[in-house]
Amino acid sequence: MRILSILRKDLLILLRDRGEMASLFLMPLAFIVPIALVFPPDGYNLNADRKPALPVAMYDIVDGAVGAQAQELLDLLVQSYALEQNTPAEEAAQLGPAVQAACAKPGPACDEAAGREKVLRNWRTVALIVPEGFSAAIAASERISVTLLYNPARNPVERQLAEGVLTGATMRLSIEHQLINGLRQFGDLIALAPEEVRRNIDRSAEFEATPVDWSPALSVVSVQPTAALISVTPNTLQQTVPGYTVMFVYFMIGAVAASLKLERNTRALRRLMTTPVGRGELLAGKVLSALLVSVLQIGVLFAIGALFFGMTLGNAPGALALLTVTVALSAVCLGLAAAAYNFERGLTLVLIVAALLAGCMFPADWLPPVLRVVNVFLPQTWAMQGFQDLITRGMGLPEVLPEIAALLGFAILAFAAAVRKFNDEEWRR
Amino acid sequence: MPASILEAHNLVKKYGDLVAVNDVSFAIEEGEIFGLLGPNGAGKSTTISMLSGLLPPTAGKAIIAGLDVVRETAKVKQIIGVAPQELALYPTLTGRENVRFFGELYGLRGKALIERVDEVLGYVGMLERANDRVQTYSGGMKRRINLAAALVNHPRLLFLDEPTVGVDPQSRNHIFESVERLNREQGVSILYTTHYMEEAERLCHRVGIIDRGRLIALNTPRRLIESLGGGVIQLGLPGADESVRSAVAALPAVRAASFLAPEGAGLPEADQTSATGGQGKAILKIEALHSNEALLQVLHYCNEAQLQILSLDLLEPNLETVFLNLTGKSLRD
Ligand SMILES: Nc1ncnc2c1ncn2[C@@H]1O[C@H](COP(=O)(O)OP(=O)(O)O)[C@@H](O)[C@H]1O
Ligand SMILES: [Mg+2]
Repeated sequence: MRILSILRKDLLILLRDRGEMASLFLMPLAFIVPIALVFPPDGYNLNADRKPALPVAMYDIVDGAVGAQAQELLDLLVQSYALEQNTPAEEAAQLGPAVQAACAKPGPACDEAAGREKVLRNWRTVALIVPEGFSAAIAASERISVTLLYNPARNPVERQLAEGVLTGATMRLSIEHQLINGLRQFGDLIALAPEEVRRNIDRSAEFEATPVDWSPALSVVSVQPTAALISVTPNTLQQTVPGYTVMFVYFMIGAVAASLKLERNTRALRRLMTTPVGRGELLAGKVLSALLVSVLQIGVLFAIGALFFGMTLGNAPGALALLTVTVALSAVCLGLAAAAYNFERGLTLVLIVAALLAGCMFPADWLPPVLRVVNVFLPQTWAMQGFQDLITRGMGLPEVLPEIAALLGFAILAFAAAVRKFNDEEWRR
Repeated sequence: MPASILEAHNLVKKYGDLVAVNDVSFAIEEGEIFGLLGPNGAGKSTTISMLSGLLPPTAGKAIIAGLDVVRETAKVKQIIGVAPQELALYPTLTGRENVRFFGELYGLRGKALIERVDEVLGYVGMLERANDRVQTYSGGMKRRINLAAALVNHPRLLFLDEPTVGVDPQSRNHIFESVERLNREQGVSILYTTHYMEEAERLCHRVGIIDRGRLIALNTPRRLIESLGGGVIQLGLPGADESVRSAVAALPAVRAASFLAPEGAGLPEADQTSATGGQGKAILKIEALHSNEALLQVLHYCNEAQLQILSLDLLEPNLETVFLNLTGKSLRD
């Protein structure tokens, strides 16, 4: 019960500290909002093209040329996408040895390997594989499917868009052919058919089968590569919102330190020690109140990102919540340690540099390898990595357990160091 | 014989080489207002810290209501209330929130808590401003909340450490009245520290005078003042030496005479006299058996001996003079 009293008191003090509240809630928004509004969605993706690119592996080759129906499909898709075929050798080399090997001989196998790799690397949202016999099947109104490889980590809207375009194109294709076949049976109606249809009928003379099934013969199968292989460049929001949230969550260190310092300087702590309250209760109350504010902070910032800027939150809300609490806890415990060791001057600068190294302001992949070793020692790195795993890479709890463990490690170390320093004299001073 | 609510037995607190409290013993009786009077740095706050279980004594022990303060701290904490010298309040909380918070720490809940908070706020005359933040209060109002927070748990023994420092006259009166009422109406025993002798004289049943960690006198204010006998005369006598001092001390109406270090006196002549061989012994402090007669005899002696009198002070018989007489120093710095 006393813990609740202390929690309420600390919460009140924190919430009434306008400066701290501004640096926890308004400062990150001051970064997030302009960046989200001004930068293009692929602002952090150096390989982004202006027109969405669609790698295509075309196996449907008839007499050395693309099958007629397959070509029709490509003609439809080219309206929406920049199609990528005949992977150039330099690009294949860039995509790694496996792709390079597959591209020893140019052709669909090379394009498929390249397309797969591009999706894995998140250079592309989707890649299309058109199987052998596609044109023949469409012409015969038989069932056939094309394969759409997609990256689950990208914005699902982009994928749905690709699926939509592809489904639309294939439906049109297959229904058109079914219709034409049907019309052929009613020869007298052919004269009524529009010019374009009549041309198609002429061309479809080579197929004699009659449709028995009028449902669309062609379907799109979407295939998700295994998550562990995906390396992802986050989009602008996936980078910016978690980035500045993580950066400013750790500003709680300053807030906690300030609140403890106020308690010491006003000697309120001394008075507390003359009451029956225990040291453990005091610490617990302080930790819990700051934890609440930190979790609220992350929640508000992510909610703003999601509601106003369409940021995605990944597929594992439970893991996201757990990670959020762990991140907040590490910040709060570091705050206790900062208070215990009187680390106050220069704290802001350290937090900014740490955020930079941890990849809060731009993807950590951009850092030179030396610095990427250093940032293992920063909780921000782990927080950022965890959020990126969940939000950008679409992973789940098992994949972020290492990050959660690392953050808990930081929290426990900081807490132990703080408690050690707050020896009897410290409390009573 | 009334029971003692507090007993301090040979308390010592050392900070390295510094002996902040040096072998201090006294007892406070149930229902008594006990004053600790001494200048800044005398060891008053350190004594209170040891008595309230904040600081472990280097040596000695403290008993409150029969409980050992070090070994039974938890029980002692329920009995005592402490208003620290520093304003131990949260500036961004209101007066009421502060008092309420400390009340909750003593386990007060619900209606009992609300009533008690109102009661103590009323006691110190802070009901009207109770819902404003402490940071908007004057020094005196903060002091009153500080006192209210110390009262919230119905303490039997109250420690008030310099409760009137930096306080406007109105708040000061409020605090005096609260302290007197608490003691009179509720029988609360109080340990009151101050470096203002008027406060000790007005409020305290008994006063301990403390200087440099040592308790150098302990009695009722009246007895302490009476110990001065006929009063104290301070005489500025440049060039006076040991022979002058002994001659003055030998006068029939004089009990004792001694030189006062010139530091606190602030006389510009002090430098001059030391330069002329007076070794800085410029001011002679004379304890009189009877002030009028002593004055006449001293003046007569100076006249005969052709000593030039630069200044003459007849000190009012009060605790300030008692302190000066005991230590050769002023209470204020
Ligand atoms: N924590 C401490 N460490 C070292 N010296 C201290 C400490 N607290 C008090 N002192 C010293 O002990 C002496 C008594 O201090 P204090 O009890 O605060 O005096 P008072 O309350 O009478 O003004 C002073 O000389 C002070 O400097
Ligand atoms: Mg003091």
